[in-house]
Amino acid sequence: MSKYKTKRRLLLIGRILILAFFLFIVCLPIYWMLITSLKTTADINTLDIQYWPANPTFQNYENVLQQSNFIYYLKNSVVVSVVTGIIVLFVAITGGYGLSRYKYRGKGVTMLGFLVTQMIPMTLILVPMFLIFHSVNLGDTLTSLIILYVVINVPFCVITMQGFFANIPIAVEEAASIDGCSKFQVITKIVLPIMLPGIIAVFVFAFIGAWNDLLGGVMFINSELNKTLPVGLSSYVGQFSINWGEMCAGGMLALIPSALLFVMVQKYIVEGMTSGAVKG
Amino acid sequence: MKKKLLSIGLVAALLVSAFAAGCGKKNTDGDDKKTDGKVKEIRFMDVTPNPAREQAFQELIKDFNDKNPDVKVVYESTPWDQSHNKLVTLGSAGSLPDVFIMHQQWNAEFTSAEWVTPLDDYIADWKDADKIIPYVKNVLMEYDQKNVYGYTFGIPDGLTTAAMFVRTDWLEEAGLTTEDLETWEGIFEASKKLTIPEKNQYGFAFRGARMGSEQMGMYMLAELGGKLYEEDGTCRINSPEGIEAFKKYCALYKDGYAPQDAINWGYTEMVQGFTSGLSGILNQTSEVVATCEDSMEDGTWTTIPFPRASDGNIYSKADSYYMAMSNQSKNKDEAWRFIEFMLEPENNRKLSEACLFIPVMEGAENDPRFTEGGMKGFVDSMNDPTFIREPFYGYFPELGEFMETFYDAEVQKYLLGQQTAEESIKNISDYLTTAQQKYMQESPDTPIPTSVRTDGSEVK
Amino acid sequence: MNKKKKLEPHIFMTPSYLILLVFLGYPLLNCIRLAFSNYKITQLNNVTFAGFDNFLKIFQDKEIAMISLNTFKFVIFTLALQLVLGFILAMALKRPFRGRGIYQGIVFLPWAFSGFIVGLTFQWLFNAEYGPINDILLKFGLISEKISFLGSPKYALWTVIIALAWQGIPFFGIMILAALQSVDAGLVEAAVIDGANAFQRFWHVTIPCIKPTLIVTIMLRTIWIFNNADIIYIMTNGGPANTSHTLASYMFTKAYSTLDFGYASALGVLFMVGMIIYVCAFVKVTKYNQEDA
Repeated sequence: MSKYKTKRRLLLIGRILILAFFLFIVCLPIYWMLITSLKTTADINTLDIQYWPANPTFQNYENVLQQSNFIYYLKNSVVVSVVTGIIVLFVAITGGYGLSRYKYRGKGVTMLGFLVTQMIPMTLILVPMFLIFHSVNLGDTLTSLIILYVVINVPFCVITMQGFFANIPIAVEEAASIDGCSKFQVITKIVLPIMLPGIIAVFVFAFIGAWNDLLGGVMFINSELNKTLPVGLSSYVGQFSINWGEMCAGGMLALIPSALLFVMVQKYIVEGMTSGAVKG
Repeated sequence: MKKKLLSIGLVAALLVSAFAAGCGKKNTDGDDKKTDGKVKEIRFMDVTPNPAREQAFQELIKDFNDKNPDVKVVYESTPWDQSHNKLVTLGSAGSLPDVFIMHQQWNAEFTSAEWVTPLDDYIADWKDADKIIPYVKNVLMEYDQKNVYGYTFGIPDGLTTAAMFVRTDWLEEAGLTTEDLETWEGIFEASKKLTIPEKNQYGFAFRGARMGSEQMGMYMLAELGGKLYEEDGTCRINSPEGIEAFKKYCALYKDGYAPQDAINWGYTEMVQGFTSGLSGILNQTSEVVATCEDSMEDGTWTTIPFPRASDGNIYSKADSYYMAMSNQSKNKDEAWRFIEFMLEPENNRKLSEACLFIPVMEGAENDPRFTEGGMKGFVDSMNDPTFIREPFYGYFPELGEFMETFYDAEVQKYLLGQQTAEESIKNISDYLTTAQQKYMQESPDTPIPTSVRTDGSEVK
Repeated sequence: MNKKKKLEPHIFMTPSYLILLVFLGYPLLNCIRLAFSNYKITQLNNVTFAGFDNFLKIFQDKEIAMISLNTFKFVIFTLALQLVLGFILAMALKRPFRGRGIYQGIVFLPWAFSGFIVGLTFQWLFNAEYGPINDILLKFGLISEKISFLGSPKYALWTVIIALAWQGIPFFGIMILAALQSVDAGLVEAAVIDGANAFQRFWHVTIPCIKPTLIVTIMLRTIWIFNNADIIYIMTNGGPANTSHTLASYMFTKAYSTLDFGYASALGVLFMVGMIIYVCAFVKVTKYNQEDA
């Protein structure tokens, strides 16, 4: 019995160590950005490395919030990322289901086709899309960005979703069909709840994909008030100098929505099986 | 039946998503974009924005819009790193802004793609045309544009040149004065004396990456008398003088007068190296004055004119961004009015002050904003009677590839000891010779890149 | 009925087909067309058929051997770091503990940074003069003199690998965690009753259950890492002396510096062919298709 106890204690310590290790490597760069955002320009540009700001200041945050269109950037990014996430999710669920549950001719080719699109040089996608958007009067709009991000993220997400569907034994569905459920009911009532962690993960994937993109934002958006966060933040990187203080302050502020998202969704990702809908 | 429902559901969802996307559009279109038929909209794009510069532009644009009720200029900007990409995309999509800021590096591309409008007719009727200072008129407009491409497409809006930023307190400690740094020889000597590794203090802010080779090239070309090519297009750097100059400059890094990390330094790192007190001498342009003022103590630094080569001349460069008008613009006359307005001497001084440029219009010679403090070293360089503008590496299409992927790598291989100076120089020289000779066959009318004096005369 | 059954998968696939056909079909065909043309964006009135010239140009580059090796290292090590650490993270997060919600919120944060911010920050962290990593190592006596991580051919590529791995661990973490949660608890219980130990349960129950996700994630991630040139461009610009360039960063820098879209397209086509071979081999080796249907 005591042997069992020691083993458990060892496991616990191991787990704590692992968790601490991840916290450390994740936090080191973020901590660096955080303290940079609280430093004055002179304290940033010094060889005397400060691990805590010598003259802590919120000036950078004030500048970001007051002198730039940060609030607009934030709003645009949230709108674009959420809408992208929802649309991609819908396409990925249908596509992923179709790919994982049916055998039909051309399936392998379809999947390969999805993957091949990932190798087209980005510029070759951007230019024709740019032309299309201009001809239908969508130039310089958030809509154009949403469409771009949906297009870019769909192949990844469909295939990922297909992987999640494939994790679930087909027997689950068959059992439900025998019980008299329609296909639609099987999917919405049985399969999707089990899939919830995967669904959330794919949503997060598409959301983050849209949230982080710089190139599309730079190319498709012209007016100041339509810019997204990465585009706004990249303007702190000048030709001759980087405005580290304000860039880090903006970066920290931009983290808040994603951090909230992660905290919100983590519950669903880890609690997928509790619904008890499945019995093998 | 169920399947029908499902497919209806699919269609509905698609519609909803399309609608949601449509809503996004409505929100963003803004209210003041409405043009009631008479007001013509001019899009203006800046490609190297910073807060001070943006503010100056916004104020001038507001002023212009107030004075010209029939035109509405809209300000747009793109971060420098992405601006080339963005303009190329806009250009190939046929939707360039009416007026944009352009870098002279893009001359060849933008003219051969016919994205810029010839401005000579406009210039002929321009009331302020005679107020442009000689260097800008003779070199940047006549020599660099008309002489090479046959027409003028860009109006310079603010001049920037190179000078040396130096730490005066370090010089004092080492028993040197700024006069000792008048020549390249003096710069090399001083770099040695200023280097104190124990104090983590290095003489020279060496730039080894991101077109750092261009800075090395400035010295190498100076020692070649500013002559890069022979008449037949053979590159002249693969010569004893060229190799010696190359070795001498690279010794700044190889002998330890710059930190080892400097091989990866670009613009921002070398500036940071100087402002943070790591390096004592920095070869930079006037925009950096603001950064130094922000993060260094007054009295610890100054700027001095660009050093002289062994023949006594100052071989340097002085460029400007151009205001260019898109060939795709539908309102060219209005666009020109805006350019004209921006270059009214007073407005040009306003912009130049915000960006730390030397104004391109006469009338700033006695203005202390541009002749004192950090700007002095730059103005003095430009005003020196021996000032010679070095040649471009070429007008051939491979130039971008050469500058961005070839030049630095070859120099870095020598800095790392992976190949000898002779090998590096030979590779660089061969590349340039091949590209230049090929280009001369295809475009025999384009002149060979040559050094020019302020009055526009070539250095033969 | 039979006919309907046949149509069923296609109904599900319609949205994805539509999106891809409308927006990626043309670029794909165009890419293949341009790969065989002399197509420079600045010389549009002079577009000619180029045959295999663009492809030849790729293989004639004298740096290609070193850069291919770099690419191999870059992809393998970034992927391995992300996969192994992401897997460990997911396992550690699987069972609840107090504060797990907050912990997860923090640990997944690296994923929420734009690539250029990650690149710039790591460039600074690894800087030999102002960077805290050198400073910390020196202070703890782990090194005796400053290491120029970004300025040395030995380390430059590794700094990029570390930065990209840092950003990508949460992605693997989330994907694997999500997959782990859909492993049927009943199967695990059954294995316990059968007397399987922890390792056996892991190897024979957990792994097979999440295999589809694992395979798909690895496959997609490989492609993504291979294509990721931004972080290299920002941190080292391929230097010193091209030692931290990969095929994607080197070739595309070259193509775009001369606006040679023909060359860029040829690269795209070449990468596509390479990727098709990779995916086919990968699917065969992992027996992916045989498991799922």
